[in-house]
Amino acid sequence: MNPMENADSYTILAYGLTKRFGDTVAVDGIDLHVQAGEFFGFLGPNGAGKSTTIKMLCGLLRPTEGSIRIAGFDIDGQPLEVKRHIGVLPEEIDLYERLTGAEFLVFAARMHGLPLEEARRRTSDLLELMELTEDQNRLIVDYSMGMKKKTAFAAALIHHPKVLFLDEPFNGIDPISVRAIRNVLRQLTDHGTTIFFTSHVMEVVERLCSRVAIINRGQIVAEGGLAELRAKAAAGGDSSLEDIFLKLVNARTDDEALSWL
Amino acid sequence: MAVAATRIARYLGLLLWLKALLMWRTYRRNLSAAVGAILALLFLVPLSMMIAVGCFLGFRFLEPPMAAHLLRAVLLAAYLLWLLSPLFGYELTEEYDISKLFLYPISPRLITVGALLGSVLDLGVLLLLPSLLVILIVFSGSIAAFPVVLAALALFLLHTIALSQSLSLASAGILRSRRARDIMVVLIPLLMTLLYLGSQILPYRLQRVNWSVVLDSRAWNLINYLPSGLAARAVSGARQGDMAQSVSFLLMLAGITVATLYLSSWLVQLVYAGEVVSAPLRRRTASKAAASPRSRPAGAEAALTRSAWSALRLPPVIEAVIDKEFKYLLRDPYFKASLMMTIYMLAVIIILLVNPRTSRPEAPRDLTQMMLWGASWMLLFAEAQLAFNIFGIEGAAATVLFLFPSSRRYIVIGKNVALFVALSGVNLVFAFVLTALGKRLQLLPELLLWFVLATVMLISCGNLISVWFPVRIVMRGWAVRRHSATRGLVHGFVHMGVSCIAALLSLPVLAAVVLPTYWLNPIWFALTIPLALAYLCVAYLASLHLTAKALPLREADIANALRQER
Repeated sequence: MNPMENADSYTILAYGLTKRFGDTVAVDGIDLHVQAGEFFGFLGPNGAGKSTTIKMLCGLLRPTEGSIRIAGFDIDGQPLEVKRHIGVLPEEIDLYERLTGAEFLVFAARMHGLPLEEARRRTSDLLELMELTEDQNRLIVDYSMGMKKKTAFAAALIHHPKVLFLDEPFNGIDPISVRAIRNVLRQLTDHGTTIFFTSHVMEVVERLCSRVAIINRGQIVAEGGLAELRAKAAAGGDSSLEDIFLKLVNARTDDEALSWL
Repeated sequence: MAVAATRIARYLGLLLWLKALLMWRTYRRNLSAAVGAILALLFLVPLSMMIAVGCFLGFRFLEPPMAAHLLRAVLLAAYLLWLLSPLFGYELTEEYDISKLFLYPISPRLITVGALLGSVLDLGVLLLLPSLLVILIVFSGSIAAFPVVLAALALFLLHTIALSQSLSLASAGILRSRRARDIMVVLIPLLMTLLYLGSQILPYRLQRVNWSVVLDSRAWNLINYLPSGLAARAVSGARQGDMAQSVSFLLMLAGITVATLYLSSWLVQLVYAGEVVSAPLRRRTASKAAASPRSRPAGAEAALTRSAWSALRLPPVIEAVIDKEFKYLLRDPYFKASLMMTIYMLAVIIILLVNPRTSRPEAPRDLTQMMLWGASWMLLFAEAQLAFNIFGIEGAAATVLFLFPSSRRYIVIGKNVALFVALSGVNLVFAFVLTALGKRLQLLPELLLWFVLATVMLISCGNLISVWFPVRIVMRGWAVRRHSATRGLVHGFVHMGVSCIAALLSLPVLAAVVLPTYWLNPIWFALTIPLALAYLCVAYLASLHLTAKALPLREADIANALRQER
């Protein structure tokens, strides 16, 4: 079945998504369909094509082939409508480093068309949530990597998007903020926000995600809930997501390697 | 013992290899850096050889006392230049960051020695070698003198490099801080501008200086007790056969050199132990900020203080972009660096304007006026680098900008308004200084009018080239590096081509200002200016339409180009 024919029931829908860089095929004709309110985990080893896929889904990278619909809008035909409904936390954090944390969040809110007072209120709330209140007047260029990430995360949330793309959101963030963010993400999904999430920390994915897709060498090798993935990997009933993942991506388990260690 | 010596030699070899490899890779990975280095070598090697030849002639044919003074001056110049070099070429020291070596089982002393040996590969040392060789040849008149001169020069070189290294380490915290780099962006071009002005003015003044008084002065004598002077005294003494005096100065120099080596080694050990050698200029502490009676309001409040633009009731997106652009204008070093270019240019034009030949009352009236109009073209050409690359300053953050669902037309308008206001401020100062110095203040209104109109045309053309040929801006130390998204040469030609087109399109505007000023009755302004404004309106709206239409299609490519690694 072509999922594009039944597009309305999905918040994220990609069909035949392909990206080539010269001779290298980074993403090889993948299909994705994620429903509203779903916490969707997107896993894969380094270089598997996760970030490339997210960039294409957000309109930051033009696919070589394939079509994408986000929140009911076609990314080619209505890119601004798509951007109105998404929040993105990219893997590489690039912010306006010569703005302060507070200035950047207000700027982001205003660019999303929020009224000034509302922008102020949300900025304060998010700075508090991210434990950045004390540092709000410092330029972002002077922030640590974790603080930059939290600022970018706050900016992704400030307009209350329908779909959140989070690429390795917890990397470099302290445990207190991780817990706060996790709670926020749960609240968001409870209220119907769709979250598209990548992480290398399998425990986090296992705990948060309702459905998972595993990408390897540009192709989806498995997709579904934990039970479906276990079945696909022919893994035991008590096997963790990590075991399943390693099995599905054919990770090397050569005990003889590095014998000199 | 032999094993330890072999191990030390192996480590030193490895450190030298690392240094050479990093230098080589820097040039291999960055074609423009390699071309720049080759061009610099083509200029600097002959210059170094010419200085060496000049030194040879001076040392050989001047009277011995004057030759000795020349030697002191040459070594002093090299010494001061070397000590200032960390300030100017800090990025070089960052490439070979010795703190990265602390992970490995190498002692800080060995790291120091490796760094000093590695300095032999630095361009500064290589360029200094011809002059040092000349000193060695000219001043080693006898077999006894040769080892003394050689030792004095070797100690001088070792001390200078070690001291430079120490200064570099001691100031690392400051030099690497963001604020220091921001200050350097302004300070160094300003120093260069002053140097240029000095080089234009000083030669006339220096001719009137009584040099024998200077050379006999107590100050000059005291200056020459610096290590460079000690080396010079040791060398001169050896030439004159006064070996006792020569050796005594040599010993003093050796003592200072050993102390400098210890200082350098001690600083490396401090860095090794994680001590802060020189505290970076960090943020004001929260308590200090809170204690200040004029402390700013909380961030969100401050960030939302209504700007002057609010009164105009502009759409929120335009207002937000203008606010952001102005904050960047004030805070981003790129704009400051670009502004310093215009100040440098202004200095050059000032020299031309105050030149006795052009500033004399009897000088042709047209010449000064032509210079004023010509200077306005030069300034506009310099400003084109900002107008022709409106997304370049976003850098990797362009991704953030393009993720917003805002109207692309509004984003472009916001950027244009901010740039127009900023450039107009610069143009106002420029026009005032030019007309005042050229004693043509009556031309100020016409010149300002031309600047305003031409800036609109520049921005109109700039919008289009910005979308199709974005250039990544990288600040390296105090200098700006531009990495074109397309091939460098192609981009250079395109930029030049669009500059020419902008100049051609500006000709009707120029005519609208110049014709009533010089050839028609000024009443004609009533017709030419509205016509020029209408023409510019059409040009700007067409540019805005095309830019806003092309932008959504180009965003992915622009974002990719602006974040490309080199």
